[in-house]
Amino acid sequence: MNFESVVELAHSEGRDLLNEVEAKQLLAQAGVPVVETVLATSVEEAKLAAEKIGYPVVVKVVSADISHKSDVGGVKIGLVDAEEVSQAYQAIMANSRAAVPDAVITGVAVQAMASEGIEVIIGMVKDPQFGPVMMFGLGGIFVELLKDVSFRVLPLTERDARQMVDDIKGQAILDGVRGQAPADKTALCQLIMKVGQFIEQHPEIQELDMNPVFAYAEGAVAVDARIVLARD
Amino acid sequence: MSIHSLDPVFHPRSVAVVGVSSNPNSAGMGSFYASLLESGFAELGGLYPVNPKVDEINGLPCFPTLLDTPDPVDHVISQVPARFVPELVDQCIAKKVRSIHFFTAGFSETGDQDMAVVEQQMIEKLRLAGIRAIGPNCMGLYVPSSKLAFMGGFPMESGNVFLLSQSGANAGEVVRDLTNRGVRFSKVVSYGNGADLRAHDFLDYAAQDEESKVVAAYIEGVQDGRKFFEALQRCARVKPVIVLKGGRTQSGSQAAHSHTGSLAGSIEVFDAVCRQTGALRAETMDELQDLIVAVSTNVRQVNGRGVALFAGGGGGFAVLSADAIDREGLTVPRMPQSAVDQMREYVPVAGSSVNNPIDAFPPSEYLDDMLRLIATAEGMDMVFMSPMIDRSRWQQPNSQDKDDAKDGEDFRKKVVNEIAGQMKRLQDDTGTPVIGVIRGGGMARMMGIDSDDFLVSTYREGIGSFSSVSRAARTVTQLLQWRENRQGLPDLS
Repeated sequence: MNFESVVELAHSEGRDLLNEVEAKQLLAQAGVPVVETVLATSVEEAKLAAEKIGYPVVVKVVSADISHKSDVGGVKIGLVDAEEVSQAYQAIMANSRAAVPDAVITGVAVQAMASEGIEVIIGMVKDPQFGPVMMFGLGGIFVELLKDVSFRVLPLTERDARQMVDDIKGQAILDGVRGQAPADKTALCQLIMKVGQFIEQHPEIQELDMNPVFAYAEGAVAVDARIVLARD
Repeated sequence: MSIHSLDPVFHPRSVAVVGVSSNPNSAGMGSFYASLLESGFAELGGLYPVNPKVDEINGLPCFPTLLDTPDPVDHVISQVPARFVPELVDQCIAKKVRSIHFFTAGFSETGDQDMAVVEQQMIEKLRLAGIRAIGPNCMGLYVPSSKLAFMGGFPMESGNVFLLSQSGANAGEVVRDLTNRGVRFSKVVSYGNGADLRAHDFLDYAAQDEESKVVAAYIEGVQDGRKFFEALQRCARVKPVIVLKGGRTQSGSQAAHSHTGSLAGSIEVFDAVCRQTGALRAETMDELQDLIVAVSTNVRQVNGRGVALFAGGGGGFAVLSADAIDREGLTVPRMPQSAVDQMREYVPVAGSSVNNPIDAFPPSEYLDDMLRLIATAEGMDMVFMSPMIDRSRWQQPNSQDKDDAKDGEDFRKKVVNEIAGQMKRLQDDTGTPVIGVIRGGGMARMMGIDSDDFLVSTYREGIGSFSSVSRAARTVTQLLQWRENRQGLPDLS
C-alpha cells in the first residue's frame, strides 16, 4: 500500500480516519518501529496472520464506528495458538455487534504482542497558528488526566526531540520505577524525529496519535496508532 | 552600522499629526501633538499639527491639510476618524511620507468584515507607494533618541530595552513601571492591529538593532504563526527575548480527534514555541517587568540555587521568606558553623538568627565583615539583601550628611545610593551576585527608605532588585531554567 492509495480509499469511503492497520503499516513503511499488524477479514485470515507474525498475538476489532475497543470487549490479548485466535475472533465479532449493532466492521487487526515497557505517547496535531506540532508524553489511559506532555513545532532538531523527552515532569517514570528498566531515551528521540519526518512528507495528516509506545531499555515500539486526515 | 529598512520608521526627521484637537494640553490617550511637544521633538525636526478647523495652537501655525505642511514630512500620525483615513492615505502618498501610524481605530479589530477589507486595501496601497504603516488602533512609537513619545512623562534618556506590544495601554504601563525601576528603553512600539508591520517585523528589527540588548514583547493574537516562530527563533538566538502572551485560551481551534488534539491548547503550544526558540515566557505583567530587570542586571550571573537571605524583618518574616524561596525551587543553605561562630562575636544571641536566613543587624563597624562572611559562605550562590539602615543615621546625621541635608529628599537618596554602592562592592569583592529586595509600604517607610529610590539606585549599579522575596526567587529560578533550556543554542552570557 502507499500513502496516496490509502488516502484515496479513505476519501472514497467518506472517512478521514485511517484505521489502525492502515496507520501502523504506513508508519512502518516510513521506518517507524511499530508492532507488525495485519488486517484479517475472516477466521482463516486471522489464523494465517498469527502464524506469519508469530505468537503470542493480540487481536482487535477494526471499525470506524468503535473507538474504545476494550470497552466493548473488542480486544483479546496473549493468544498463543490458532485455536485461541479463532475463539478470540468469534468473541470479538459477537461482542462488537452486541455493543454497537450498527457498526460497520472492517475486520480485525492481528498484531504481535509487545512485552510491557514504559508507556509513552507520541503525537501530532496541526495548530491553526503554528502548523504541525509534535507531542511527547507519559502515555496510557491516563494521558488526558495527567497531561504530562511536551510540545515542539515542526521541523524538529535533535535538541527539540531531546528536550521533549527531558521536559516531562514524570522523569522518574521514564527512569523506571519498581524494577522496571529505564526508557531508552535515544530511541525515543529517534522515534520522535522519524515521526516528524513522516508528518512533513504527508501534509494531508491533520492529527496523529501513537499511544501507547512502549519504551524499553533498548529501543521503543508503537503498539497502537491513529491518523486523522485533513478535511478538504 | 548596518542599515535596516525599518530604520526610517524609528528615526523620522519630521512628523505631522493629523487631526489634532485645538487644545494641545488635552489629556488622555491620543494627544500625540502634546506628547511630542513635551518630548521635545520640535528641537530635532519639523512638527506639524494638521486640522482644517484650527488656525493655531499656542501661537504656532496649524495646517489645514497634510498637503499644506512644509516638505518633507517623514512620519504621519493619524488621529482622524476612520472615515477620513482613505483620503489621508492618498495625501500621504502624494506627500511621499515614509511611514504612517494609525492611532485611528474602527478597522479589523471591530470584527466588521467590510472594515477589515478597507484596512487591507489601504495597507496595500501604502505598500505599493513604499510607505510602512503601524496599526491601526495603536499608540505607535516611543523612541527617546528620536524624541518620539506617545504619552507624557516618558524619559528622553535612551537605554537598551526594545519593547513591542500589541496593546498601547500595556506598553504605557510597562514603560512607566520600569522607568520607575531605573530601566530605559531603546525603542517601544505599540502596533495594534498589525495590518502592515507586525510582531515578526519588529522582532527582526530588534534582533539586528545594536542599541537594543534585551527584547520584550506583549502578544495577544499571533499573526502569521510560521513567520512569528521563525522571527522569534532568529531574535532569541542573539539576545534575550521575553514574551508575555495575553489570552491563554484561544478560540478558533478545530475539534480534536486525538489525545494530542485535545491536549494541544493555545497556551501549551505557545509555551513550546518559547522553549523551542530559547525565549523566556512571562505569565504576568509583574513577571515581564521582573524578567526585563533580571536579564539586564547581575541576576544573569547567578550560577546556583543557594540563597543567603539577609533581609531583616524579624523571625516570622525570615520563616515565610525561606518558604517562598523553597517554593520557587531555590534553597536556603545552613550557614556553616565557622561563619555562625564569627558572627556571634558581635551579634547577640537573643532575638536574632544567623543560621540563614540572617535576622540580625550588627553594630555598623561590623556590617562589612558580616556581609562578606555571608557572601562567601559555602553553599551560597547569591545574596538576597534588603537595605538596612541604622536608624540613628537619620536621627544623628554626620557633618557631611548635615550639609547634604539642606534638601531632605536628596539626603535620603544619597543614603540609598550609598547602600547600592555597598552592595555592588560586596559583589565585586566576593564574586557572589547580590540581589536587592525591598518591600514597599510600611517596612520601607519605617526605615526612611523610598522603595523606588532603592530600585533605581541598585539598577544603576547593575544590581537587580525586586519588591518581594517571592518575586526575587521566582525570577532567579526562571533565569536558571532559561539557561538550561538554551543548551544547544548560542550562549548569551
